[in-house]
Amino acid sequence: MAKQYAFYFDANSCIDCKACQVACQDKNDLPGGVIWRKVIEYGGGDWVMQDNVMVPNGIFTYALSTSCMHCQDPICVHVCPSGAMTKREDGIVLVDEDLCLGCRYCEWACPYGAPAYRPELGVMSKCTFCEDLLAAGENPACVDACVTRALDYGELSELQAKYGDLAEMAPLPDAKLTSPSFVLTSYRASQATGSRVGKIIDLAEEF
Amino acid sequence: MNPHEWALVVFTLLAQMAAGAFIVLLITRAAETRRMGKEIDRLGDLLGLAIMAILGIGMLASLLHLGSPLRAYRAVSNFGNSWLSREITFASAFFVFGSLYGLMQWAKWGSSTLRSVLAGIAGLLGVSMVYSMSRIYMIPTEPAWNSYETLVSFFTAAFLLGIFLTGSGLVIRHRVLSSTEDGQQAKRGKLLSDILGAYGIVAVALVGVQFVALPVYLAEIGDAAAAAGSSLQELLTSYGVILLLRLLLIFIGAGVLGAMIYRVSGKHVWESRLASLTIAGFSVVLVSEVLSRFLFYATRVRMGLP
Repeated sequence: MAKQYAFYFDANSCIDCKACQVACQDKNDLPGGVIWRKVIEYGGGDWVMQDNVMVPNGIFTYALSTSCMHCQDPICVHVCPSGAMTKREDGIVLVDEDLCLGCRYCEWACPYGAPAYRPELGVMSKCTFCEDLLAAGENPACVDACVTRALDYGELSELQAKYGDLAEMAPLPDAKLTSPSFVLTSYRASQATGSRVGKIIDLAEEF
Repeated sequence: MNPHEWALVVFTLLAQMAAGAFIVLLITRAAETRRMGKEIDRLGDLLGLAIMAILGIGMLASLLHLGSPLRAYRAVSNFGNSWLSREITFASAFFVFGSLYGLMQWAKWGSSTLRSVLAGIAGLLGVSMVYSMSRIYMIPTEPAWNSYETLVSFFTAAFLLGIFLTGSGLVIRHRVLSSTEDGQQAKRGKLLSDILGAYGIVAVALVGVQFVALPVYLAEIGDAAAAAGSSLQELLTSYGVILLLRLLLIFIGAGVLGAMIYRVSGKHVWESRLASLTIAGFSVVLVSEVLSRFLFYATRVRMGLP
């Protein structure tokens, strides 16, 4: 059994198709607006006039697919007043919808926007790492849905041995905040965490 | 700001007001009992229960922000780790001990020592509640909240509202008692005038603390906005008018009116102006603190992903 399940994301391969996000909604039967895995686009740069021609000046964009990071130091578990949010032996962070009060404190605290409120149930919900599929020996729905193999999962230490230990780039938060169980391959245009060069693009369209 | 966060504006302000008012009442009683025990008893005997009613209303309002309010009792489950659990535990214990004290004081049950002990415990629980409430917001992923300014603003709100609430309660009680001639009006009026004078000067000092803390707050929120990829300028254009109004009102309500109460009380006799000034001060401070708390929730800028 894994000691700490983790996700891997390759920013070079992702084409922002959102198949992972849709597969997650479908597999978990989530209503619209309740999003466990999301793909966002981050970009920046501008156009400048050069010899009467507008030319691009440092324009870049890249996509980022994230879900709950099943953090090693999960701030949601620390702040949850009801004990509904717990971290399992295998590192998966789960919210027990039968215990949750719906106070949404975890939503304030999580820097990955992972806990998703379900208004129709009055409780929080979140990525389960498809623990039911894992138990049946299958892959998480998002990983299987990825058409470019940008997503992978496994034991954190093994993913780190294979891909390195990078876990942050803009617009992700400082990895020291919660120690996410996440391994990242950055894109050539990737900006450092905390950079203000770019911004998340067309957020309203994404969700 | 989410609509359900208005429930938190109501809860945090009423709970802080209750804690502040309770402690102001305790200190007032402790300071005046030796000299004016009988009169301070008559003025303050209902106030303990009234303050607990306000805390009770606040706690009921807090349920409105829960998705599953029937499970509210589970909020104390993670006392070992979560400041939210600690806040609710201390609030509930404050309510129980405060109500017990209020009831015994009103009905004159038990010895005065026993009542004082209960009141002292309740006061400590009230302070613990306000401290825990502040710590809830002081988390590293919320840079606009993760500041000592949160502690300063919660405690100054507690004591400013507390001073004016207890002051208004004593004033109203004095009016009611004086409607029937009992020969003690002059004595009680002088006592009340002295008490309000002290409240006035403390209110002025607390406004001073809030104004000294303001630049720190602006710097913190500026850094927080930058961390979240926004700017202080954007925040100030959205909410600058509300911030200015809040500052103006707290300056008038607690600063100017507090100073006027202090001046009028210097004559050491009851003047009905004191009643108007105290109740006006309470109203203006309350509006200012509601605006302040609205800004507190509205300018939240969490780090990382949306």
